[in-house]
Amino acid sequence: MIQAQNIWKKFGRHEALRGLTFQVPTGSAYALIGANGAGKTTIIKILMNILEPTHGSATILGVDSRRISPRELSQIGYVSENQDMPGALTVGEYLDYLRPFYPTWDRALEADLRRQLRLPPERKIRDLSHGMRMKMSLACALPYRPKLLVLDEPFSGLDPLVRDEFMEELLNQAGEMTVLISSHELGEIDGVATHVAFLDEGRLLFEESMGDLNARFREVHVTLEREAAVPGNVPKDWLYVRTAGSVLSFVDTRFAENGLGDRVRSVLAGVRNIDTEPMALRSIFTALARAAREGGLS
Amino acid sequence: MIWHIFKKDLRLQWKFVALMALVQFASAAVLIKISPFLDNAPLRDLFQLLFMATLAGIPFLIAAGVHLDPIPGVRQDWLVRPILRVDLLLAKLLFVLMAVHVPLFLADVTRGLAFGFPFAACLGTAFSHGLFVLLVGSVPLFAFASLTKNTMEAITAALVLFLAVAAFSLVLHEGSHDGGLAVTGLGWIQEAAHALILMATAAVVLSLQYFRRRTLLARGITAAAVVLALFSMFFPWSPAFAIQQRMSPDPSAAASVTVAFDPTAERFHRPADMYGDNERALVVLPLRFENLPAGSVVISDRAEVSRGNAGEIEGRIGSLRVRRGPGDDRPFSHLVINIAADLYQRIKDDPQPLRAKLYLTLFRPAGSYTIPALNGRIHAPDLGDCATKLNSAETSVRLGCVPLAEEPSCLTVQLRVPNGPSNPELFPCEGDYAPFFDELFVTPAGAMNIPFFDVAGLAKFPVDGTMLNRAQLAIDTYQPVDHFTRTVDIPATRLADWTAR
Repeated sequence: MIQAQNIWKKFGRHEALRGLTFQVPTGSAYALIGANGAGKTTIIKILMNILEPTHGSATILGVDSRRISPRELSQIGYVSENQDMPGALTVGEYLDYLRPFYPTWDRALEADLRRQLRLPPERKIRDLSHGMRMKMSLACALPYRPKLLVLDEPFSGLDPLVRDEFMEELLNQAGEMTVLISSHELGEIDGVATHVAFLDEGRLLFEESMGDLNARFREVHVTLEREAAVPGNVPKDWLYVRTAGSVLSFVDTRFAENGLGDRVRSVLAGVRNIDTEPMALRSIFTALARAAREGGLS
Repeated sequence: MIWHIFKKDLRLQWKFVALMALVQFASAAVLIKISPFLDNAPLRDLFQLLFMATLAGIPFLIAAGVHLDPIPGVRQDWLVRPILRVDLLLAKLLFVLMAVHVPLFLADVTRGLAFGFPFAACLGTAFSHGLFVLLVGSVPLFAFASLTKNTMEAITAALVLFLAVAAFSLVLHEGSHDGGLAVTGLGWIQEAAHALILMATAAVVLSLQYFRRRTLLARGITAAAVVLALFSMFFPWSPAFAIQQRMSPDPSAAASVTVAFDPTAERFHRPADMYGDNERALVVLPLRFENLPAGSVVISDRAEVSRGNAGEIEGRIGSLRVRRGPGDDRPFSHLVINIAADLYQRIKDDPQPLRAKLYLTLFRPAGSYTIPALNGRIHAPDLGDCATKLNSAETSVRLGCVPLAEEPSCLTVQLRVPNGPSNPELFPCEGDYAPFFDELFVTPAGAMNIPFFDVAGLAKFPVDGTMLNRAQLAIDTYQPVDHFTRTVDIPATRLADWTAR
């Protein structure tokens, strides 16, 4: 559905993207995660042909992103917190305006969305709250049943109630749609994404299916016979190593049930007990982000 | 989808569109009301106000339409919608046409009809005026607006551009005494060069913006075009006159005309109030014209005078104007050379041959009309709708004309009594050879005063106030037919001998 090949983007001297390569499989829900300024919005704008890459190329729906035409755009839904809709039009007027551009626009679905998202048709867009505006953006992106839905920081600044409404509607309509979502609101992505890519300072640190990611990341707590200390030869696949009394904890990025004990004992002496916990995406992201910032991830 | 996008834009801007249409109609209505004499001061002020509102409002209106879907930026919703770029461009152009040009067209037609011009002529003039405004006004403004995101950015950019152009012009004009082409009848060539630069730049900018969204490049091209337009103010005279010569309607009409220095002709006497400063000296050379076609007029568009081997004399050279009237087969005129006093002091007593190169235009009579001196009214094809009245001081007859497009640039007006006396002819003849209607705005033509009484008592007019009821104005209009050059050689002479006293 989307292929990005060695994409670089410079703004003056600043390198916002540095050789990004990834693929979004058809039918997946692909999450781009990363801290603010990691380059998530930039890569999305390049895919949507809003920005041009400095180097590299991308295809979206099989077409070079620099050449996407109204034909492709009529199959892409785009929802972003950075989306300026005409504020002087009412909700109803803007939906009326957009309808003729999409041959597949479903008026019944539009009505459903308006009702479900509780969008007041007579309210001017500029008078909508941020949350309502995001819902409006979603209501403008779904009625034509796009093949690809691009969500750029859709949860940013939304209160929990609106966030739930937004997610509920999104999941209701997702169907066979491919979804590309960028966010640092990892709690929301956790149950939705099938694939995840982690961006840091314009580089892609990894991309992986959620299943594989969940399988290989574990929070490990090792209880030692004496006071724990961080060993000098910490393996590279251990992140966020810290101690508390006789317990040494770390994030294992290559977890395997069978070999864990041997791997730990090869590094630490006097191991009394090893506990492991599955990790939420938020914890994985935090560990990775911290490691990236400390230069421990490459 | 062009119409669909246009409807959205109109829905968002209809109040502004309606306001500007109202201003344009009101402006036309006031112009109709105050023409041709413009002597209703409050309405004249109102017209000025409406004119300024139009001048300021239309660029804002165009920008407002364009900025509903701005090109620069990465947040605009339209960027992710299946909108053909060409549709967006044409929708904005349609907005400009409907919001600015339809009211302008209707106002022009209404004005023409109000002054009794035929409907077809009104349509034709309104169309050509609209086309000119579109090409050199609206479309360049549209292109300029497309370089900016919003009105504030557009105002800032316009201000920066204005200051840069003003500073650049000051630097370029420093030390220049010559007004260049702009102050001559060939000024349209410079205007045409500007218009071509404007149109080409607008076309390139709009293509870059709407099809490739290359704002930085488009801004660079705009800046380069502005510099080019500034330099085009120095369009050289000779090629410009050559262009004008090639466009002469009757290129051989002046073939037999000769010009020669005539030391026997009447000397020029400097009026007491002429050129009030003592910093300059006036050297006035009498030139005799022969073989002028009967009733024709010749004016000089430019003259260059060189002195011996010393090259061209630095100074302002006035224009010649001569008419072959009845019984005046060899009319003459004075070539006035305005020289700085210090230069004059250095060269005035040094006898040197002089050579004057004259760039001339021959005019032929185009129309001849008479109109009663008091409360008369005529409709002439080239003058337009003309009326006469007595001025409030009862010293002059006022002649006001409203042309459909542009008034003739050369005419003579004489107050006379049929089969009786006549006053000296007034001879306003400046020359304007523009082959197209080159006015962006329709402004009222000023009325002309034809005096019959001198309050100072210095002049006595043959036709005075007592004869006005029987008097009429005889108006002759002229049109340019040939542009030609003549060189006049003057034997060694002292400038001091030809200085106006």
